[in-house]
Amino acid sequence: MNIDLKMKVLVVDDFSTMRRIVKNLLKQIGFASVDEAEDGAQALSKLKGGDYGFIVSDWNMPNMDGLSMLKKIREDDELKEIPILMVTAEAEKEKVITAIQAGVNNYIVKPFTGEVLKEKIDKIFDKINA
Amino acid sequence: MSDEMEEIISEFITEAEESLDKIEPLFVELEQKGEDKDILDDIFRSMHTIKGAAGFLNFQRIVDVAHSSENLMKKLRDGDITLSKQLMDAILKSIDMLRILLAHLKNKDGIEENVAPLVSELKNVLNRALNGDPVPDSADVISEQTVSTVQNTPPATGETASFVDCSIDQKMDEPPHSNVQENSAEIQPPPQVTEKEIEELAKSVAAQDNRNAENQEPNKDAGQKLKDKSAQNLRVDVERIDKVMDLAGEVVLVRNRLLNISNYFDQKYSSDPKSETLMETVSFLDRVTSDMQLAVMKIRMQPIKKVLSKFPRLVRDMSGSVNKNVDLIISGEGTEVDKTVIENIGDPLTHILRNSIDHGLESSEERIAKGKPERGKIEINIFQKGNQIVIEISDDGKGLDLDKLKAKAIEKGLITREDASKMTNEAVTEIIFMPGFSTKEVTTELSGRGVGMDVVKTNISQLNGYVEIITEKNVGTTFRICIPLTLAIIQALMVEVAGIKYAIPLSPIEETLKISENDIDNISGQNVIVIRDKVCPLFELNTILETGLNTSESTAFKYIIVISLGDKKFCIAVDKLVGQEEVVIKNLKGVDTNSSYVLGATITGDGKVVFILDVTGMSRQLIGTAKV
Repeated sequence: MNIDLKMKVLVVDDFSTMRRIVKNLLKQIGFASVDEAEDGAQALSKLKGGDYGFIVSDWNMPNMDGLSMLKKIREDDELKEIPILMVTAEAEKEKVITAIQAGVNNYIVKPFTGEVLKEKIDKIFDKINA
Repeated sequence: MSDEMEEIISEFITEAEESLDKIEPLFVELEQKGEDKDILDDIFRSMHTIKGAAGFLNFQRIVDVAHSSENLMKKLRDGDITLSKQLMDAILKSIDMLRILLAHLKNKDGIEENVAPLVSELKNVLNRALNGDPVPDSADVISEQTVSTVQNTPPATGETASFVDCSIDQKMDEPPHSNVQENSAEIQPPPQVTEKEIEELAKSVAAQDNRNAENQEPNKDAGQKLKDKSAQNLRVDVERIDKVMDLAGEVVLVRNRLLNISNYFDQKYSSDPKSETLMETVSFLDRVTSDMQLAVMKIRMQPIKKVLSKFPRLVRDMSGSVNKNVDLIISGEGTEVDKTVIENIGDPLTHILRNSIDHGLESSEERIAKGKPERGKIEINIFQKGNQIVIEISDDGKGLDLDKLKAKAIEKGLITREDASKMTNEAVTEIIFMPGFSTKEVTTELSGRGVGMDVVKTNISQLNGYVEIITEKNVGTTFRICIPLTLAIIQALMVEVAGIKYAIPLSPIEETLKISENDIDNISGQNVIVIRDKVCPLFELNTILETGLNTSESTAFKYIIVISLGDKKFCIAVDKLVGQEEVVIKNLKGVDTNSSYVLGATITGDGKVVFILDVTGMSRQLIGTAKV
């Protein structure tokens, strides 16, 4: 397993129940430090200088959606290397492609289990550390 | 079930219900204003979010219902279908079902609703909308299949293709209702993206990126530019807040007592410098306590919008069922009220709305014949006035027929003919609040059973408020509800009668007077006094309370408290005016506040228990049949 469990993770979703569920799953995997943000805008302000190692984010959010947030992150020198896992309930072609083009590392379709989440994260970091 | 899980589910239920509360009025807005992409998107997103979380928590029925309506919303949002009343009704039904499902979860009653009929109805409606022509109901054949669905967890197979920028090895999943796709026209299976296609795409994207690397724009400090608009919110258990409120109330009582004692010592030991220090300290405590009390009260205050959000839909449904066209205009929904008010004001307001729609507003034909606009209008207006919250519900209907009211009340034996002849117009309007009253021959589904209006009145008095009716024939009727801002702590005037102290809430008191026996006149058996050329009925508090005690030897002077409640005005005579005090209302168990003129009790600064009087209740009894 290639993951540094001490790294700070940011969970972004406008529904607090969802944030809680994802946070729970991450904690089960072993992540010690998981923070939350309720939309892309809040996420960005937390990320700057926040020293986060990984982001798990929803797609549909008010204020600033996942895609816009993703683009802004990839444009930012300080943040662009942070791996991002998009959580989505839809699996249509355009959305996935747009995400790829914008720079998402991987995506996961909800509902998912802890095992699937861990596998996705493993894959992301395997790639990075390879 | 672990505590954590319990909490998550409970949070889900709360959030889901809040989401539904938020979008329900949007629907009605949609129907009236026509399609608005932002609103449609808001609604779609809410359904989508609820579905997502429900999926994680294995609430399959919720997923099914949310998914079906999410589909409808999506087609609407993307412009594939247009909004119709039928569509609207279907979606509103799904919201109702979601509420029911959430309620079952909340009550843990284990009831399993059959959502199949609703789900297939939603599909039919969507089909019809897509095809533009009605589809016979026999197309419900697919309904059996819709219920048994499988939650697809993406197969976590081994690594397949890998790319420069991302790895996508998860099979593209269909939405949870994969088995339905064989038959239904409307759920198009999302285009299955093959691994190969993605691989190709990712490679070209990677290549593109490399080329663009040199042309990178200088980094924009995206993070700081954005305003952090997120409001800081905290979810707190209501019990904890109530506990703090209780303690704050106790502190107020103790402060009162301390003030009392320190005054005593200040007078007794006025020469001792410590006495001054004591006074200063207590005075500071006094200020801080008042601030704290205000702050605590504010914690429980919320915009009344919460209660109002369901009214657009309610009005729509109610007016639909009696075939009337009604416009609802709300203003002042940002006005903040205490949580207790929010919890208890919904029912009375709903009933008043029903009453207006059912009885107040005329049918379209009648209105046109009268020269009124065809659509009836109901206005809800909320504002703060002094230390009261005022809620006005006005309709532009036919107004109350006072003669008819009187006749009906006499017929039902609620009042005698003699009472009726003595009644003021205000008193006549109050007839509708009498238990057992209704003017509709056949009770409609909505109202007229004779139980509604008096419950309205009771509910509002329980909030220490009162209701007034202002009506004009053929012009309309306004119900005006007044509720005090703070429910627990009030300013009171302390009075004494026959040696016993009582507290009277300050808000209805207009003024206090000192009069002599000569100032009292008598008109037809009713004592009155004249205040600034206006006649005002006068009552002895001792008599009202039927203490059975003798008032202190009648002095030449009497102390009069002038009570003003809306249009009603009357005076109460007492033996002594003791002073003003801030009191904490403590409820008395076992005392019927409706019939006893007692709101509650309090502990005064000198440690005694004192009754707080209900002047509103008194006014109803005394003024109802007063001749003046």
